[in-house]
Amino acid sequence: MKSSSHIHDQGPARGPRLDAPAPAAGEGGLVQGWLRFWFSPTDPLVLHGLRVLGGLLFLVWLLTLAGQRHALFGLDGWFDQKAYVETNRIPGGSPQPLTWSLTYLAKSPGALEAVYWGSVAAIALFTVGVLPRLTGVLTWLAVASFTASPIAGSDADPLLLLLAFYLAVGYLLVGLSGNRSWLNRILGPVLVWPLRPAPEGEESAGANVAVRLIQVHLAVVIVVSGLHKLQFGDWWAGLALWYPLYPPMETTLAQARQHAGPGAESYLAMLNVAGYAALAWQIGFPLYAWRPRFRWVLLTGAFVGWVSMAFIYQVPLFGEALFIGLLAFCSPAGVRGLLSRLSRRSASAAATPGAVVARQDRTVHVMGAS
Amino acid sequence: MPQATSRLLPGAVPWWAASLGSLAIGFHLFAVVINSLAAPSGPWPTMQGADMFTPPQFAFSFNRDITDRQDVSYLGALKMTHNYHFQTNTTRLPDVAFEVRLKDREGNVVETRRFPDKDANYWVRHRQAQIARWLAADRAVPPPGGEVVPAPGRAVPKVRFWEPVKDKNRHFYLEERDEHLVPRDQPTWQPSEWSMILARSYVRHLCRETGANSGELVRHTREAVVPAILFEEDAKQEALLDFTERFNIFGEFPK
Repeated sequence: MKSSSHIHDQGPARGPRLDAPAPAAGEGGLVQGWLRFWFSPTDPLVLHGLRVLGGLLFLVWLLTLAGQRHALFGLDGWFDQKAYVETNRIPGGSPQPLTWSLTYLAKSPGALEAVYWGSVAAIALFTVGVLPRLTGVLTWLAVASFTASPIAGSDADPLLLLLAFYLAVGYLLVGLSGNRSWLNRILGPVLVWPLRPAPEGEESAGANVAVRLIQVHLAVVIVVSGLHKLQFGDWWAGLALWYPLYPPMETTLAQARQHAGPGAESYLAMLNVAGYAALAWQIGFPLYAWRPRFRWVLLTGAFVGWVSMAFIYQVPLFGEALFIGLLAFCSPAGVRGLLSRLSRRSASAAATPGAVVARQDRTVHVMGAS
Repeated sequence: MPQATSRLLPGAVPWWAASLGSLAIGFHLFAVVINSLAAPSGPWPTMQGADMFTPPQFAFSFNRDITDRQDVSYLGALKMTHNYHFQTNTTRLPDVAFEVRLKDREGNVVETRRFPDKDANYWVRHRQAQIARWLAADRAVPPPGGEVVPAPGRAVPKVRFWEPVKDKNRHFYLEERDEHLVPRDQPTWQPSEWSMILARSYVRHLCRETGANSGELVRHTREAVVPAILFEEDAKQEALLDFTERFNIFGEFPK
């Protein structure tokens, strides 16, 4: 396991380096600013945290579709081989891109089983931190392959792909340099956090590149999506949030009227404010996203977005993926502080003999550990 | 911000790696931004009604020639061709569901399945709802220009479009007529070729799954409930009609 103990990019000198002391803010001009932004070594704990949460998200996404895996991903499923052939003949091309997927290589149900469960295994290993350089790439291949269906795509899919790709890139870059064997450089660390402690002081420029790519790409996604909303009158009128609250197949006019209650105007005014707040949060995102004092705005907005996407829009995984991605803006010191608080709390709970924990309708006595 | 506390330590990135990395990052993010810009916008109001507008030429050209080429697509290989114009940004959409009436060899209905299936889990139901949305992607049939004279030995091109079912309110079936016989005095709509491919494929899948011989697919749509109803004490009959379900019969497809 020796290889796993070196995950930071400390290698022998190879030409001029960016190893000058950090210039003061504003010093060094645009080039130095760019280099500092992208290539400053940073604590890889944020990348590890994103990997664990992202991996859990990928597992939830894939396992919840397990019951329909052949229908969704097989070539004799919802969109069968004949449909692919017919789609290629549509004049002007398909409205949905037909892209590559490893599932297209699975010509039999057994082969699809192997690809599916192999993918689940790779994602699980990546999530816990086993051979992340290899399992990161496999995870991206799995996410890219199982989001390829041209008919059952979801708004969440591009966010899953974004996370999977940059996490894979991150672990390809982490631990590239340093005094180590070629095999070790190719395979990367064997184990990473949480299977192996991530000591304070460990730093990696590769981790910074990956985290920065997630940050900047998500900023593009959020702003573009916000500007796209301005193409619709319902967002200008502040009424866009009304419609997902009343799905036409499930709501009668009487129910909608009853739900709005007697103060219909106040109710609509409240929806106006919520709609404009969502637009402001999205379009103004780059103005506050990189300012630590506004971190609460970022995270509160992400949380509200998560809840509303899941429960109002009924779009699974979109809000979760966005929220996890936006955790890339958290500082490593903050993440370390949170983790140490959590571990202290769990240690003190474990050290209290006979501590009583109420869990749902039963009581569990946790025996104190010595 | 993760890097607020970071310093440029000994062991940081060599200049050559930083330069190459900068080029790669710059190209990649530029491609992502250009791809987001290279999307049609709209619908915007015009003198001829609502219409979509073309993307900015520079973004469209760059995307077509460099980042998302037909033959070698950089973003396509990375699966990053989404332009982040999310479907959920359009909130005022009709709700769509569909049912498939599965039939045996004698043409008897042996089973009817409705999608999104309320018994499926939340995640699968969402994917079924996506299919239903694609089935609702109708498009306007261009009005016929004039009498068509087919080439010798060739038939007159035919057009499929939605026609109301007689004596059945808000039911439509797919009528196929010669191109020049499409009604001129009313807006006429048809399912897209993509919707038809999808409908046939889904019916084939259900036939394989159940052993049925064929299946008839019927689309159900209901228009969005508009906030204006809050201020209509007694909903007018016309308004009420708009909120009732509409049925489009795609037809019977073999296994």
